[in-house]
Amino acid sequence: MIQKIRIDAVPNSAVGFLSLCQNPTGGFGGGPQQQSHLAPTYASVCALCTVGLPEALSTVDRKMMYRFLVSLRSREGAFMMHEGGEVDVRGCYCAVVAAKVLHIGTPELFKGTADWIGSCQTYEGGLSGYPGLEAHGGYTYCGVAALVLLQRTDAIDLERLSHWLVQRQMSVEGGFQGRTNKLVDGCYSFWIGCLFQLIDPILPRNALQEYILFLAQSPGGGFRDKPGVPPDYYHTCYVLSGLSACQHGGRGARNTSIVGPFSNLLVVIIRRYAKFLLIIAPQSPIEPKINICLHAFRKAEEYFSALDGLHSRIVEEQ
Amino acid sequence: MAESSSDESETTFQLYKDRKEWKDVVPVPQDDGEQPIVAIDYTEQFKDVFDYFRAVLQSGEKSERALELTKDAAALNPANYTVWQYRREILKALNKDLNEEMDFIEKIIVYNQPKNYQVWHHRKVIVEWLQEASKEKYLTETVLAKDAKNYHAWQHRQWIIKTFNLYEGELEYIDSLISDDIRNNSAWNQRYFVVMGTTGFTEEVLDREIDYTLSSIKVVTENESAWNYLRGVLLHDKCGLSRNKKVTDFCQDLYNSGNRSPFLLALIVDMCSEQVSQGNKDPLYNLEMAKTLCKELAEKYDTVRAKYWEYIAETVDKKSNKEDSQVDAEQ
Repeated sequence: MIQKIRIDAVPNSAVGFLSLCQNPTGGFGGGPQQQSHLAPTYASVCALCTVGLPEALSTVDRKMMYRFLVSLRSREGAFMMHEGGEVDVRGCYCAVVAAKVLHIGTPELFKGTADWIGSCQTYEGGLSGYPGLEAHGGYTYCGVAALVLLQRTDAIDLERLSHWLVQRQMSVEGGFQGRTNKLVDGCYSFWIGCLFQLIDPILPRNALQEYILFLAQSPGGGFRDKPGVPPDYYHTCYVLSGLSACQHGGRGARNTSIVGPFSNLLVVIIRRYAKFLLIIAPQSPIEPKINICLHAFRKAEEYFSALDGLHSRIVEEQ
Repeated sequence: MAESSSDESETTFQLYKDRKEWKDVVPVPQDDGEQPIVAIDYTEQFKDVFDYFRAVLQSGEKSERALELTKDAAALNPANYTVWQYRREILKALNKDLNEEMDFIEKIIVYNQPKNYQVWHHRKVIVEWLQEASKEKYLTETVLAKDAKNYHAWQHRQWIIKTFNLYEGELEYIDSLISDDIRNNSAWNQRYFVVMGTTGFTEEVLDREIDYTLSSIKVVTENESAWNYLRGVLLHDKCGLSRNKKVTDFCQDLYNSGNRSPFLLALIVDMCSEQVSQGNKDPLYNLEMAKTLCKELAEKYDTVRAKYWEYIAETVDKKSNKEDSQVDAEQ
């Protein structure tokens, strides 16, 4: 169903394709000639950042991106996913990441956003997709990562969040569930796993690695939700990111921690699965707030902050 | 997401490029550029429909035939948000009967795509336009009957209840879900939502909810949902976590009966932590109790979280030392 990928051609093809997904009114759509949407916008910005070449980074029309983000704001500071689309905490996360990576964030753009995200914290301690709903791993990641990027973790109660977070690890399987009393799923290795890196250095690394290696791996290649379910790109991406988080650890970690032989360290695993992957996955620790390589993020930060003149012009023109 | 049609519809489906009534439209192929990356191998039908959709999007045509086209496009890829958004524009432009649209989208949600963002959002917008919410509770109940934790269904239900003030009967509905499955965390969450949206946690309501939750815990003492709800309720108790006599008595009795549910132990640890933070020298809820329970949790009753419990024991210890040194300083 999918053509063979020539790994060396990937960066140019990716940049070429993504520039066709960008719209003149700002932002990226899911494919060429589709309306702009925050999820593919986030993914495109991250992918271009991962490619890292100046041609990739300069592909983004930052001025129009800013206008696109502003157009999606609600009065309270939440974001809809596309024009006329649904509002939930994913919107805040995607918008904050795009603004941060591209160096176009302003106080006006995110006025009220941190407090709106804070209103998504539930009585359980985790965050919901929208105020009132159930605490959920994916949405909690989005909300907390956005708050960390906005430097506003004061908007939530971190102690209650930590309590909810540690409870998400399954005592039998070792992997994570996304909500109380639900089943384990490999993708939460990232959504929940990275939350540990963001707010708390105590990541239960070995049990999670065991879940990933023994249960989330698919015999034919790639990673999956759980045994019995086929592998897919989404789970492959997020389980691998979760594995990276486990192996390389968080703020409090002083060493890499590998379950199994040294050859399990992520670099080698990626090469084995390169045929199955869309683009070459991280070969180094990931930046947990954004899920791209640390070095790619730093490179993008340098590139865009050097264009600071544009940043102030964007603000003046609004 | 992307989908290939069944054999039956492939044989009866007439490609748009072969339709007389579409002769005036030039199809627009997808522009993947010179070096496509992971190009999807679309079926002929998929390409055909979307080539015509792109054409109509570009020309801005908002006609009956364009509306039908969006139906075909949405059937092929119900997650294509551009299609749904454009369909809404056409519905408005043609001033279509939205009740028909309600039937159409309901079938897709219930029989086809209950976990798709776009279809639920489409339903929401139509309900907003019609300002007519009488079918929505039933719709969400139908979906929840198949999957009692469907997040989209709960989101839609909460929006309906809040926007149209339809809280009545909701606690009873929640009760029925909890009797079907006492561990249905979505139902417990909904309980909190209803109380917050109606009476709030007044003293009387607090008491009622504590009774409800403790009865539930008696049935299954290792149900995290009930324990989390109990903590949630106690967030509204002025006296805090550790001074509600009903709750503390219940916990003590349960513990003394030999129950070692990790949720019971964790709650007692937090009660101790609260007492210690307040500088109280409680005979029961104190540093010693906290450290003992943390050790039991780490070594026996909740070993997967061993490092967390060690960390909590240290934290309570630090709080205790801080309190002691503050007292010393004051003396």
